[in-house]
Amino acid sequence: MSEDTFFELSENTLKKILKKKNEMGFSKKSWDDWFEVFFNENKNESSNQKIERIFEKTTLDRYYDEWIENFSLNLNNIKNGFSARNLIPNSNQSPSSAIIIGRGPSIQKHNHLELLSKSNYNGSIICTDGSLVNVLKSGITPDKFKNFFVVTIDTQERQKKSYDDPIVKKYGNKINCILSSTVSPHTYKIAYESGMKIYWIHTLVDYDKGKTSFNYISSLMSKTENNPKGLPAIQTGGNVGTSAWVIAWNILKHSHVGLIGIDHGYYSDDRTSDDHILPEYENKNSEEYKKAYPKIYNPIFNVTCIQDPIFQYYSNALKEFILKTSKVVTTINATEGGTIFGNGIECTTLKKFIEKYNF
Amino acid sequence: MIKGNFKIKKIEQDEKDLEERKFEELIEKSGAGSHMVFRSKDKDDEFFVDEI
Repeated sequence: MSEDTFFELSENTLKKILKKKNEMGFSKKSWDDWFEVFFNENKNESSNQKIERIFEKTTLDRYYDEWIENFSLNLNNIKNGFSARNLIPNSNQSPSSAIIIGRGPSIQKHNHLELLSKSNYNGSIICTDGSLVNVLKSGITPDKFKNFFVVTIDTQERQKKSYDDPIVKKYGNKINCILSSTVSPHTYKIAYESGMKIYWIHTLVDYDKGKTSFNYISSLMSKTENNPKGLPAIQTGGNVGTSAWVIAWNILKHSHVGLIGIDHGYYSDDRTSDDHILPEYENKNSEEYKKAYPKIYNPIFNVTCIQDPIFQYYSNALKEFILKTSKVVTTINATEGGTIFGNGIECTTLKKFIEKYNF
Repeated sequence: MIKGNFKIKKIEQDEKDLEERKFEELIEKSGAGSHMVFRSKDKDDEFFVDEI
């Protein structure tokens, strides 16, 4: 590039530029300093903010069209089906509890499913879709646990595998299934054919964008004469575990919500059970790699978890949410490991959770 | 019209900037789920909206 670059501007344009520079606090600073900030809004963001910004963009880029496609294919079933609003209790409940069951590695490590199946726990069982088959096979079934729910929010067709097992068909007609309006129609079909009662929800993605948002438009399209309010909409925190937690206290109105299998991290490099990618990287001792794949020590249960950017994204949000809502809902993490711990988050064993919160 | 010129000078790439860029690339390559954390200026809408 040449050392000098010539330009022409109208006086009006120059006035506007100078005004903007002054407004941004750079009246006494160099043009270079100002341009550096002006063209790089993300310069001072934290790692967490960077992760959130990138995942918001990545998710929209990859899935926006699929949300629309799935929603349009589901629309008839939504209009003729049940809203998750039907699950909201009619009157104020006395304190009640629910357990969210994820599929993190701590579930197997601590035999949580066996412990729960043998317990006299009275609260609601809310399975993430990925945990459903193992939950049922362990003996945690709607025959014994009368308030039994499963949740799917994910858009991908592969979610149908969560429902594709003879044991799901065996208990299907006693299971309440909560589906996002953007799930694959194949997921809906297999859940419906297993006999489950399907309740629809919207998942909040771009509602803050107003009338041109997917949320606004899909909500308008979901409304019918019989259901003029359409479907309620939930924060997902990016994943089905956090979605199930939101449903537990906003729709089912439980005052106390326990979490098991919500590790948001790994104990090894095995990624075969999901689509988180562990990339080949030449310098795993570099600062950027350690920031993207941190090792988190959980002092309460004396374990070290490896996170990836996706789990950092999920766990940052869930920890923030638990703290924010502590006056509204009591969240108890009974995972006995993982990365959801810290200021304001009650952590205990599943055994103690069942003893203390069995109502 | 106003005429002027910018004097361009070469600046060595900051090591910190390079590290941040590599960090961003690692995030982008790590995969993605089909939903994101929802953020709203209206805090009442942050977790649950009864009717959109």
